[in-house]
Amino acid sequence: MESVAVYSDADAMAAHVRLADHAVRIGPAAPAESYLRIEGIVRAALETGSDAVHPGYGFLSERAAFARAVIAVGLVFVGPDPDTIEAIGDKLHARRLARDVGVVAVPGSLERAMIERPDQVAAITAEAEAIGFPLLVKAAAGGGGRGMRRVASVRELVESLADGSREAASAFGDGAVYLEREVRPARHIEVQLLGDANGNVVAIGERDCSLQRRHQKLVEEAPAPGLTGADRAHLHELAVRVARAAGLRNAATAEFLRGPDGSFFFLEVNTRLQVEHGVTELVSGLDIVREQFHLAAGRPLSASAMDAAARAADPRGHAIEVRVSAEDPGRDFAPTPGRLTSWTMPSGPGVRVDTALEAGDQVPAEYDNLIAKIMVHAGSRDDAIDRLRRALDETEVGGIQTTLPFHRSVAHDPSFRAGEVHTEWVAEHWDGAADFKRAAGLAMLAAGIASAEQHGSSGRAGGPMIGPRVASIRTDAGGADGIWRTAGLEDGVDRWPR
Amino acid sequence: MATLSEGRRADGRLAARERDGRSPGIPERDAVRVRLAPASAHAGLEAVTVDSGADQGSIVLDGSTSQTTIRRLGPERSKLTTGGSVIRVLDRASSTQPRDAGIVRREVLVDGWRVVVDLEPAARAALRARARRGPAAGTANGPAEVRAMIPGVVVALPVAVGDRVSAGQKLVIVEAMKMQNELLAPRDGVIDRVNVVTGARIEVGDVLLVIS
Repeated sequence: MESVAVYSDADAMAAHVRLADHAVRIGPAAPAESYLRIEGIVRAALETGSDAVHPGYGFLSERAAFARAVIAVGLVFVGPDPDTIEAIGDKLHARRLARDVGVVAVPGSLERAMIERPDQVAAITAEAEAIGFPLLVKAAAGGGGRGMRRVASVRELVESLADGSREAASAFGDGAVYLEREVRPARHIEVQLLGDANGNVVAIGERDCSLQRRHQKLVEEAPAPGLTGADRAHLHELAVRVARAAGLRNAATAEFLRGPDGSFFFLEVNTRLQVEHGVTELVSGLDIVREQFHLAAGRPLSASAMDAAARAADPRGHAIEVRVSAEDPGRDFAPTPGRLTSWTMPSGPGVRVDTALEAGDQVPAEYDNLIAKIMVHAGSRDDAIDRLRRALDETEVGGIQTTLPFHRSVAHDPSFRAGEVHTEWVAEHWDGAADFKRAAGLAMLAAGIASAEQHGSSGRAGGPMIGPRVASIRTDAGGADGIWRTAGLEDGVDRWPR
Repeated sequence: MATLSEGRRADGRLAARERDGRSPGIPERDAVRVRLAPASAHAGLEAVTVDSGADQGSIVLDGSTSQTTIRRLGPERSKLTTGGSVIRVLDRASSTQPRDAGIVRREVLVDGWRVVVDLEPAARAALRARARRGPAAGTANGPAEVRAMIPGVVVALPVAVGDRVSAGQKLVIVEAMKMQNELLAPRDGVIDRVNVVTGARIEVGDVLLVIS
């Protein structure tokens, strides 16, 4: 199989361009003028004589219009049917679908909230009270927290619905919002699904993605810790039931929340490959992207896919992924685009690194901040955590700050080892500023000693050390720098998927 | 031989003082003063002065002292031993050029963190500090330079010269990596100067505006 890469000017030197058999420039760095231009990408596919288009997991991967455009010119779209993408992308539709097949969704509304007339306001207020506060206003077309509002009491309800609807309309072109109970603390667990043209759908296993910040996943693992075989089989069956009802073909992921009492609530379906699919590949032994191509060619589920599905409730081994991102975990995960000066990735048994970068590369400010996925695989979760520590010790990134200190802390945290993960974990267990301060003290000492050695006038090069003679550590005048805060996602639909 | 005794500050910053009676801050001939560069500036800047020939020292952080020894493994690499753990350090010339001649900027990688430090002979640092100690010293009432902590493009500038602002108020909104990032005022004051306009591309360390 020959491959064709598409690239913007910002990516002209990128690894996917170098590795592909052919590469086509599709425009300048701005996503709206390159990676989001459906006609430009379809034209590149036609001009290079391509047979199929794999949408990856960025930009247009969940856009029904893109899938339709690819199919309209006679090419194969490697992903679910456009009608499925569209139908299940509407979260209210997905919630109704789950109800129709007896799968419990997060408690909340099944129709869009209306607040134009007094009787509608009365009806939605009664519904909110039945769901219970605090609750969430969510956008039906949503993603990435856009249009989402937390409502603590009935007094804030109408205003939050109006605000959420306005934000959803501007982000997605669809102002439909609905109500959902806030499950907190919750675990975020998702099921990898594959479906063929004959209507067969199987679950390949689940992933726990509870360690999140701003609704962005930071650490994922497979299988989800602490589930019994019966829990697992039950969860997989719920996911398959929803996917079958939606007519799923190819690959998708059904997301669930697990409440403190252990019950599973259906959340939504993502109709594409997920960033974190690698942990499922490590545990199942399946190449999910390869399966996607087989399924897109109209073949039935492969023997290896059926094998993996048969073992899914009783997985062997454990895999963990950490997302290395260009973000400063000491400064509220503020973005840190820039040039990489050093770049050492781990290797060795049970370690997989998915990245496209090397030393000297620029991490552009135009695109997502994910720069590498470091995955480990071992016979047990404990061994996988030990392996993760070792892998992170080998990893070194210079030039920009990354999320590595956070991941090192996770790998050493007793509650993570105990499997006590939930969606509030990061806020409860991570104090980035304190960890930075500790490291800064060591860094200043190391740099100071090195410099004193190199520039000292005593001419004792290589001679015995006379010490210890560190004079003082003093506080300086203090920085007048302001405080950074992330306001919101610039373009909800087009951000890198969660 | 100087050792460090415990120094505790209410804000948990690094603090230490000497036990042998030598007043802190008076540098010896070859001493080097190290401080965090603006790109690494978090709340609570610290500076450390290291004498030539030192191969170990104490760090006092949040009230607890840890003895640290360093072993050089090469021109850029060393190992720190502190509190029973061994920490690998990579320390090299930073790609960012320092602003003042005589100050050497280095990038130090430790435990996944990237710490950018400025090194300067302590004697020279003391001279500079004395020269700066004028009427507009960096006290709580002096002007505050608000610097860019992230690179990106200014998408909104809700304040103008002469505006009175209060701590926590939105000053600049910068877009980077598909996120909008708000820069908030570090303290109350009046906007004295604005160095950027909407649409401007900014780099880490740029002075965006000044509050007096």
